[in-house]
Amino acid sequence: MNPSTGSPNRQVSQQMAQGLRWRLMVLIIFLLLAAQATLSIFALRSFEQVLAPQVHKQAEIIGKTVADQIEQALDLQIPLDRLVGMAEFLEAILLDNSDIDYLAVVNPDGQLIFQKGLDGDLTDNRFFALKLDSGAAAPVLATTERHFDTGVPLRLNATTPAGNDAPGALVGVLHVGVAKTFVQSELEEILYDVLTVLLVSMLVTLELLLLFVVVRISMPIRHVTQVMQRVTAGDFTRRITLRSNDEIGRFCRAFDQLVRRVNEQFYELVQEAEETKAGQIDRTIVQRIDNLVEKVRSKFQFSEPGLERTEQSASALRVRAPLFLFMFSEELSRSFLPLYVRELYSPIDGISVDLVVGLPITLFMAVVAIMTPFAGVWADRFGPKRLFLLGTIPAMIGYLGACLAQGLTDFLVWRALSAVGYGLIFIAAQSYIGRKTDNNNRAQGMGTFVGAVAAAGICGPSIGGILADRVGYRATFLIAMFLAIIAAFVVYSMLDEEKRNSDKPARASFNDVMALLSDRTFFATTVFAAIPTKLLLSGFLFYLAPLYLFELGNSQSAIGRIMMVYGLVTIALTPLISRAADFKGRYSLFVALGGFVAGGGCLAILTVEDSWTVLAAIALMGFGHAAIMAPQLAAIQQIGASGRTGIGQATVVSAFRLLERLGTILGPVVAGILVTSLGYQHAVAAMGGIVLICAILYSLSLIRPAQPYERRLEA
Amino acid sequence: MTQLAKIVTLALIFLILGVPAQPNSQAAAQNAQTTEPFHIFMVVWRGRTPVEDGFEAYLRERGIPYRITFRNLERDRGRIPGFVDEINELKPDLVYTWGTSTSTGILGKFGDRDTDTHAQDIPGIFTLVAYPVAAGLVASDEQPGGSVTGVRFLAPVEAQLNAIRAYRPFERLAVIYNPNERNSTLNVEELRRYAQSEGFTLIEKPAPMDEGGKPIGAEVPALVLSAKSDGAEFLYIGPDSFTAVNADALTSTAILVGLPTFAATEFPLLNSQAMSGLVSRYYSLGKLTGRQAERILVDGVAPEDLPVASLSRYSLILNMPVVRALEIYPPMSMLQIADIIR
Repeated sequence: MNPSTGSPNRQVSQQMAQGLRWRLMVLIIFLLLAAQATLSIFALRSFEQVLAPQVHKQAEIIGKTVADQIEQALDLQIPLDRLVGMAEFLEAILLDNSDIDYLAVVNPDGQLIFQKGLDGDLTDNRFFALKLDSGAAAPVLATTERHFDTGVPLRLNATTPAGNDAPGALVGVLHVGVAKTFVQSELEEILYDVLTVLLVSMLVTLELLLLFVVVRISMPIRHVTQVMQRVTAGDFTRRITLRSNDEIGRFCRAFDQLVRRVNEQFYELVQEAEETKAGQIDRTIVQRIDNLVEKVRSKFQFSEPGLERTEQSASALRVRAPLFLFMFSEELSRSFLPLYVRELYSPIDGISVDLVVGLPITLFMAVVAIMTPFAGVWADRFGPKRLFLLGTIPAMIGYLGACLAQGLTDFLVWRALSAVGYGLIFIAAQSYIGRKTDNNNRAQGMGTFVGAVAAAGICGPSIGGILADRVGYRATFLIAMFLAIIAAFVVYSMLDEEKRNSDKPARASFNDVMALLSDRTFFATTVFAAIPTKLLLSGFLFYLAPLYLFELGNSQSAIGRIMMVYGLVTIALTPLISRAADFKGRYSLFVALGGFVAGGGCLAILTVEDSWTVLAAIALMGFGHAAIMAPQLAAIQQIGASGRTGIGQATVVSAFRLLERLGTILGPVVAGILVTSLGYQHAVAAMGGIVLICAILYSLSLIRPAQPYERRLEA
Repeated sequence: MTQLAKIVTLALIFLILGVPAQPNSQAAAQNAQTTEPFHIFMVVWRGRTPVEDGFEAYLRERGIPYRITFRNLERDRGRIPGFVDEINELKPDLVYTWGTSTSTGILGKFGDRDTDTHAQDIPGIFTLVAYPVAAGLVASDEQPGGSVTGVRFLAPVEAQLNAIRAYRPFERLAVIYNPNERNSTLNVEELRRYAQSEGFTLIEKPAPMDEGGKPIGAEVPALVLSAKSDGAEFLYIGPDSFTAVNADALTSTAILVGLPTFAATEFPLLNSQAMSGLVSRYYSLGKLTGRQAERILVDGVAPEDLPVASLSRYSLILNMPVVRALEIYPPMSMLQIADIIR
């Protein structure tokens, strides 16, 4: 593409652009963080002020309902202290309202008659202090050492003539107690949500900022640099052509003007030379003029003024924002999909509910796998931009259908449609990056791709969980649809139309796969490392984790937050581990280590049955997967590079990717079978066990064949 | 969204059909102008009850034309043959009978119906019968088998016992009954079975008989006293005509000795001073009987194929004045679901 690729000048300009980009980002992130943190603190504080009265109000509503029922009994002229079955009655209400800590009925003197949920010394006179005025009409709020107490007066109905008491007389007080710790835990929930939104908005800002900086600043500067390099070499045939109306746009136009000016000058010079030539009779002078003009022509390249060609330059980064948006839309349902499926489920003969709940995930992954080769062909035929746009259509229909789904059957159809879109867009983005990069910066380009997917993996589950808690599962799918529409819009307005690509991408045939599987290292890496990794990802994280966390009593927001940890850990550790693995050069060591950490983490779930253990298992899985993913790919690429299988590197990688998907597809099936007989906790542990066994087998496979191979390399 | 989808679907169905609700009653109303009203011969045991009100209300609501010939046995079996003759002579479209004694007398027993004494080929419909199969009215509840079907009214004994226990756990349950009534003996047999399987003591107090083999009503207070002294914690009032007739004496004595009562029928709760009960409301039973009549008269279903019907929901009734007199209060959970007599 560019003759001066890798020249010192280019590197300087790139460093400058990157330096600028980073400084700008750090500054903006810092400002944004400060602003949002301040805002969040104010919001939390005002929320705290609103929450306490809100809790009182809630207690008041429940208290009035209970008081109504007690008053009905009183109106039947049953004396307050003779009410039967009050303990069971109050217990049932406490069971339905987990926010209430105790219910107590006292007589007008403040003596306890009935209670449920009070602990400690019941003979103490804690309610004496909370005595109501006999004239008190509305519930009275008070604060005790550990509770917010709402006292609701119990009165005889004015219309019922009562024995000794006058109509409307105060015959007792119902006390509704809400623990102060409950209010605090509510606040903590909100705090977590606020922090999650803060984190995600940071990531989204980074994505958009990156896009802006790249398109508006880095790209034009790189452009200018390239054209300047041409000018340095005497080439005045290119211009930048940037229409943006900011400083950089004006600067570029000024630069174009400069190039044009030079071309005009040269044109005028030639004209003048021609005129001068025409006025001369002396042939030697004519010859000298011709020589001079010719000399200038050979040293410099000029263009007709105004007809300078636009310098072509591309950036793979442009696809990052729309890819992120689309992946975000798909990840929104990550934290609640199995729970939604369970709601839609109606019994199917002979298949356990646990298997059925995993079905949409399996189907989705299978459809994506099937779509991949077709998508590759279509990417060649239509170009990545059109393929991306094409992919958003089934994806959007899928989301809308999932929002309106009537049952499991049509839900499966909608998910399959979304999967078609996902497969197309996945390949479209990859192919776009492939075309916009060369061998020198392809790794960086793929980093763009992985970065966008990983960022979406963090934002999707957490924001999806918060949304599901507040607007429900169905509406969250609708939001996913709008995100996909925005992604399509960004693609439409920002990506370049690409013509047909002539180079055929490598695709593995059945024979290739078979030949590769007979290679010991390929077999071990694929079967004992890659497939178990994906199996655990889709079986545990996508399927078991939401259901198990729900069973442990977590809100949708909390489930999303806990699942987000996987993305956070992998995004934080992947670069560190890649660097370490590259440094040590022993990729297989990291792959084995990753298997042990991920498998061991899942086995550790047996220790304590609570959400923290699940969180730890997810974090360890993230750690393990971060250790596996980049090194295993490097190991696979080594096989291709060594040429010992006689199959090209790209084909080896493509065969590897194909087999790897098998794990993703099988994950929910294996998890479903395990959970049917073992329950969530033991199913997760069993999957951890599978991964651990695979890690042991992988380690064993390293012992023997590693020696001759390395010796062969040395030789 | 599902809710919306349902509404839309319903709206579409209505649009397509073009007719909103109750197409049947309109058809039946048209019937009213073209055909003779159905002739229903009604025989009751001790005068008109809310069952008959419910029955007629149902026929009116459905727009079914009818006329009724009303006959009252006034608790006298001797009148039965006269009414049977009248039925055979008038040839009504349907015979309606109230209670087990009236029904077996007028409609006869399944497999034992002869032309001379019983209304044979005229469809018969009985109501307020506790055990129609045991009483011999039908072959089975699902397949009555003859020209007679009807409505049974007793809540399952197990449900009744559960209701008593929910009010107040007991170990000794007393029952006063007339051993000459088939209803009662069947009911008591069932109680015995549950006493054995559920491990409580059933204190049986059958009514003593006079020389004529009739139960002596004056003995009822003594029976209640003796039940109390045997340690009864609850007194059960079954589907028994003898205790119905003597309900006042029975329940007032029970209040006097502080013995809570539980009734299987509505009568002692509404007309006397029974404390609690799990019952079929008479008016609801009447409506259900009307539905059975509609199936036979309008829809043309043969009685032999029309299963004996029963209500799907029974009413828990609490008689608060009695509760207050006894000072044995029901639990909060029961107050919320019971029909309360204030």
